[in-house]
Amino acid sequence: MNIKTLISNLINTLLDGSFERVRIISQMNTAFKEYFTTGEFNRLCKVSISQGNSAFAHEMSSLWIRSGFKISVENDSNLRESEVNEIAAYITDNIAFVRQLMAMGFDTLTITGKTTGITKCFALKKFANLNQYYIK
Amino acid sequence: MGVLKRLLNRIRFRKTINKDESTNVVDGIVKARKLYKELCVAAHPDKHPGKTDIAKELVQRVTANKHNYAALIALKKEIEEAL
Repeated sequence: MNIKTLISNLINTLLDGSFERVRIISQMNTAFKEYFTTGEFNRLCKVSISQGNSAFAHEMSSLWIRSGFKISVENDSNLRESEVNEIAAYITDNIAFVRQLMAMGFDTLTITGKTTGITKCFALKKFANLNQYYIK
Repeated sequence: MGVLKRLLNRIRFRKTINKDESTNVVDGIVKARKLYKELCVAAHPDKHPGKTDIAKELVQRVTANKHNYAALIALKKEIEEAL
Protein backbone atom coordinates (compact mmCIF):
# COMPACT_ATOMS: atom_id res chain seq x y z
CA MET A 1 0.00 0.00 0.00
CA ASN A 2 1.53 3.32 -0.99
CA ILE A 3 1.30 6.53 1.03
CA LYS A 4 -1.36 8.03 -1.28
CA THR A 5 -3.67 5.04 -0.81
CA LEU A 6 -3.05 5.04 2.93
CA ILE A 7 -3.98 8.73 3.26
CA SER A 8 -7.00 8.26 0.99
CA ASN A 9 -8.21 5.27 3.05
CA LEU A 10 -7.68 7.22 6.27
CA ILE A 11 -9.74 10.16 4.98
CA ASN A 12 -12.50 7.84 3.80
CA THR A 13 -12.68 6.06 7.11
CA LEU A 14 -12.71 9.29 9.12
CA LEU A 15 -15.22 11.08 6.91
CA ASP A 16 -17.63 8.24 6.40
CA GLY A 17 -17.41 6.76 9.86
CA SER A 18 -17.32 3.29 8.33
CA PHE A 19 -14.78 0.83 7.02
CA GLU A 20 -17.27 -0.51 4.50
CA ARG A 21 -15.97 1.38 1.45
CA VAL A 22 -12.36 0.55 2.23
CA ARG A 23 -13.22 -3.10 2.86
CA ILE A 24 -15.12 -3.56 -0.40
CA ILE A 25 -12.49 -1.77 -2.47
CA SER A 26 -9.63 -3.73 -0.98
CA GLN A 27 -11.61 -7.00 -1.41
CA MET A 28 -12.20 -6.24 -5.10
CA ASN A 29 -8.59 -5.19 -5.68
CA THR A 30 -7.32 -8.40 -4.11
CA ALA A 31 -9.65 -10.48 -6.31
CA PHE A 32 -8.67 -8.61 -9.50
CA LYS A 33 -4.98 -8.99 -8.67
CA GLU A 34 -5.40 -12.71 -8.02
CA TYR A 35 -7.26 -13.30 -11.30
CA PHE A 36 -4.60 -11.35 -13.19
CA THR A 37 -1.66 -13.17 -11.62
CA THR A 38 -3.22 -16.58 -12.16
CA GLY A 39 -3.86 -15.68 -15.80
CA GLU A 40 -7.65 -16.01 -15.63
CA PHE A 41 -8.14 -12.39 -16.69
CA ASN A 42 -5.81 -10.54 -19.02
CA ARG A 43 -6.59 -7.07 -17.66
CA LEU A 44 -5.40 -5.78 -14.31
CA CYS A 45 -8.16 -3.64 -12.85
CA LYS A 46 -7.78 -1.35 -9.90
CA VAL A 47 -10.74 -0.05 -7.92
CA SER A 48 -10.54 3.30 -6.16
CA ILE A 49 -12.56 6.27 -4.98
CA SER A 50 -12.57 9.26 -7.28
CA GLN A 51 -14.44 12.50 -7.61
CA GLY A 52 -18.00 12.09 -8.78
CA ASN A 53 -20.20 14.08 -11.09
CA SER A 54 -22.41 16.42 -9.08
CA ALA A 55 -25.12 16.07 -11.73
CA PHE A 56 -25.41 12.38 -10.79
CA ALA A 57 -25.96 13.07 -7.07
CA HIS A 58 -28.77 11.35 -5.16
CA GLU A 59 -30.08 11.67 -1.61
CA MET A 60 -27.37 9.41 -0.19
CA SER A 61 -24.38 10.81 -2.08
CA SER A 62 -21.17 11.65 -0.26
CA LEU A 63 -19.25 14.85 -0.94
CA TRP A 64 -18.69 15.10 -4.71
CA ILE A 65 -14.91 14.80 -4.25
CA ARG A 66 -15.34 11.25 -3.03
CA SER A 67 -18.57 10.03 -4.56
CA GLY A 68 -17.07 8.31 -7.59
CA PHE A 69 -16.45 4.57 -7.82
CA LYS A 70 -13.62 4.16 -10.29
CA ILE A 71 -12.32 1.03 -12.01
CA SER A 72 -9.07 1.72 -13.77
CA VAL A 73 -7.62 -0.77 -16.27
CA GLU A 74 -3.89 -0.67 -15.54
CA ASN A 75 -2.66 -2.60 -18.62
CA ASP A 76 -4.85 -0.90 -21.15
CA SER A 77 -3.04 -1.45 -24.44
CA ASN A 78 -5.60 -2.16 -27.19
CA LEU A 79 -8.42 -1.43 -24.77
CA ARG A 80 -11.60 -1.02 -26.76
CA GLU A 81 -14.63 1.04 -25.82
CA SER A 82 -16.74 -2.13 -26.04
CA GLU A 83 -14.58 -3.71 -23.31
CA VAL A 84 -15.15 -0.68 -21.09
CA ASN A 85 -18.89 -0.90 -21.71
CA GLU A 86 -18.86 -4.62 -20.93
CA ILE A 87 -17.09 -4.10 -17.59
CA ALA A 88 -19.65 -1.42 -16.77
CA ALA A 89 -22.52 -3.74 -17.70
CA TYR A 90 -21.44 -6.31 -15.09
CA ILE A 91 -21.88 -3.60 -12.45
CA THR A 92 -24.95 -1.77 -13.73
CA ASP A 93 -26.88 -4.99 -14.41
CA ASN A 94 -26.37 -6.08 -10.80
CA ILE A 95 -29.00 -3.93 -9.08
CA ALA A 96 -28.10 -5.28 -5.64
CA PHE A 97 -24.51 -4.10 -6.07
CA VAL A 98 -25.62 -0.70 -7.44
CA ARG A 99 -27.80 -0.27 -4.35
CA GLN A 100 -24.89 -1.30 -2.17
CA LEU A 101 -22.69 1.35 -3.82
CA MET A 102 -25.39 4.00 -3.50
CA ALA A 103 -25.83 3.20 0.18
CA MET A 104 -22.11 3.74 0.63
CA GLY A 105 -22.42 7.24 -0.82
CA PHE A 106 -21.28 6.61 -4.38
CA ASP A 107 -23.19 8.21 -7.24
CA THR A 108 -20.85 7.93 -10.24
CA LEU A 109 -19.35 4.85 -11.83
CA THR A 110 -16.21 5.57 -13.82
CA ILE A 111 -14.42 2.99 -15.96
CA THR A 112 -11.15 4.22 -17.38
CA GLY A 113 -8.04 3.05 -19.18
CA LYS A 114 -4.95 4.21 -17.32
CA THR A 115 -2.99 5.48 -20.32
CA THR A 116 -5.32 5.38 -23.33
CA GLY A 117 -7.66 7.95 -21.81
CA ILE A 118 -10.79 5.97 -22.69
CA THR A 119 -13.18 6.95 -19.91
CA LYS A 120 -16.86 6.30 -19.42
CA CYS A 121 -18.99 7.67 -16.60
CA PHE A 122 -22.38 6.35 -15.53
CA ALA A 123 -24.99 7.72 -13.10
CA LEU A 124 -25.78 4.96 -10.61
CA LYS A 125 -29.25 6.37 -9.92
CA LYS A 126 -30.25 5.47 -13.47
CA PHE A 127 -29.86 1.77 -12.73
CA ALA A 128 -31.46 1.38 -9.29
CA ASN A 129 -34.43 3.18 -7.92
CA LEU A 130 -33.46 4.14 -4.40
CA ASN A 131 -36.94 5.36 -3.42
CA GLN A 132 -38.31 1.89 -3.86
CA TYR A 133 -36.14 0.64 -1.00
CA TYR A 134 -35.90 3.75 1.13
CA ILE A 135 -37.09 3.35 4.71
CA LYS A 136 -39.13 6.33 5.93
CA MET B 1 -31.52 18.30 12.44
CA GLY B 2 -31.89 17.53 8.72
CA VAL B 3 -28.35 16.20 8.58
CA LEU B 4 -28.96 13.92 11.56
CA LYS B 5 -32.18 12.58 10.01
CA ARG B 6 -30.36 11.97 6.73
CA LEU B 7 -27.57 10.12 8.56
CA LEU B 8 -30.05 7.94 10.46
CA ASN B 9 -31.96 7.13 7.26
CA ARG B 10 -28.68 6.19 5.61
CA ILE B 11 -27.73 3.86 8.47
CA ARG B 12 -31.18 2.23 8.36
CA PHE B 13 -30.97 1.82 4.60
CA ARG B 14 -27.53 0.21 4.88
CA LYS B 15 -28.94 -2.34 7.31
CA THR B 16 -31.37 -3.51 4.60
CA ILE B 17 -28.40 -4.51 2.46
CA ASN B 18 -27.10 -7.69 3.99
CA LYS B 19 -25.51 -9.33 0.99
CA ASP B 20 -22.10 -8.33 -0.31
CA GLU B 21 -22.16 -8.47 -4.10
CA SER B 22 -18.60 -7.21 -4.73
CA THR B 23 -17.10 -10.69 -5.11
CA ASN B 24 -19.89 -11.70 -7.48
CA VAL B 25 -19.19 -8.62 -9.63
CA VAL B 26 -15.47 -9.38 -9.92
CA ASP B 27 -16.16 -13.07 -10.63
CA GLY B 28 -18.66 -11.93 -13.27
CA ILE B 29 -16.20 -9.62 -15.03
CA VAL B 30 -13.64 -12.42 -15.13
CA LYS B 31 -15.64 -15.62 -15.67
CA ALA B 32 -19.27 -14.93 -16.63
CA ARG B 33 -18.71 -14.49 -20.37
CA LYS B 34 -17.23 -17.98 -20.77
CA LEU B 35 -19.86 -19.59 -18.56
CA TYR B 36 -22.66 -17.80 -20.41
CA LYS B 37 -21.50 -19.20 -23.76
CA GLU B 38 -21.10 -22.65 -22.23
CA LEU B 39 -24.65 -22.60 -20.82
CA CYS B 40 -26.17 -21.29 -24.05
CA VAL B 41 -24.70 -24.28 -25.86
CA ALA B 42 -25.65 -26.76 -23.11
CA ALA B 43 -29.28 -25.61 -22.93
CA HIS B 44 -29.83 -24.98 -26.63
CA PRO B 45 -33.34 -26.27 -27.61
CA ASP B 46 -31.93 -28.02 -30.72
CA LYS B 47 -29.85 -30.26 -28.45
CA HIS B 48 -32.90 -31.35 -26.49
CA PRO B 49 -35.69 -32.22 -28.95
CA GLY B 50 -37.83 -33.85 -26.27
CA LYS B 51 -37.60 -30.95 -23.84
CA THR B 52 -37.78 -27.92 -26.12
CA ASP B 53 -40.01 -25.83 -23.86
CA ILE B 54 -37.84 -26.31 -20.76
CA ALA B 55 -34.71 -25.63 -22.81
CA LYS B 56 -36.18 -22.43 -24.27
CA GLU B 57 -37.14 -21.16 -20.84
CA LEU B 58 -33.68 -21.95 -19.45
CA VAL B 59 -31.92 -20.20 -22.36
CA GLN B 60 -34.09 -17.12 -21.75
CA ARG B 61 -33.12 -17.11 -18.07
CA VAL B 62 -29.44 -17.59 -18.92
CA THR B 63 -29.60 -14.62 -21.30
CA ALA B 64 -31.37 -12.47 -18.70
CA ASN B 65 -28.63 -13.24 -16.17
CA LYS B 66 -25.65 -13.11 -18.53
CA HIS B 67 -23.85 -10.56 -16.33
CA ASN B 68 -24.60 -12.23 -13.00
CA TYR B 69 -22.09 -14.97 -12.25
CA ALA B 70 -23.80 -16.31 -9.12
CA ALA B 71 -27.10 -16.65 -11.00
CA LEU B 72 -25.33 -18.41 -13.88
CA ILE B 73 -23.78 -20.93 -11.47
CA ALA B 74 -27.25 -21.65 -10.05
CA LEU B 75 -28.62 -22.04 -13.59
CA LYS B 76 -25.81 -24.42 -14.49
CA LYS B 77 -26.96 -26.80 -11.76
CA GLU B 78 -30.56 -26.42 -12.90
CA ILE B 79 -29.63 -27.19 -16.51
CA GLU B 80 -27.69 -30.28 -15.44
CA GLU B 81 -30.69 -31.53 -13.49
CA ALA B 82 -33.47 -30.58 -15.91
CA LEU B 83 -31.91 -31.51 -19.24
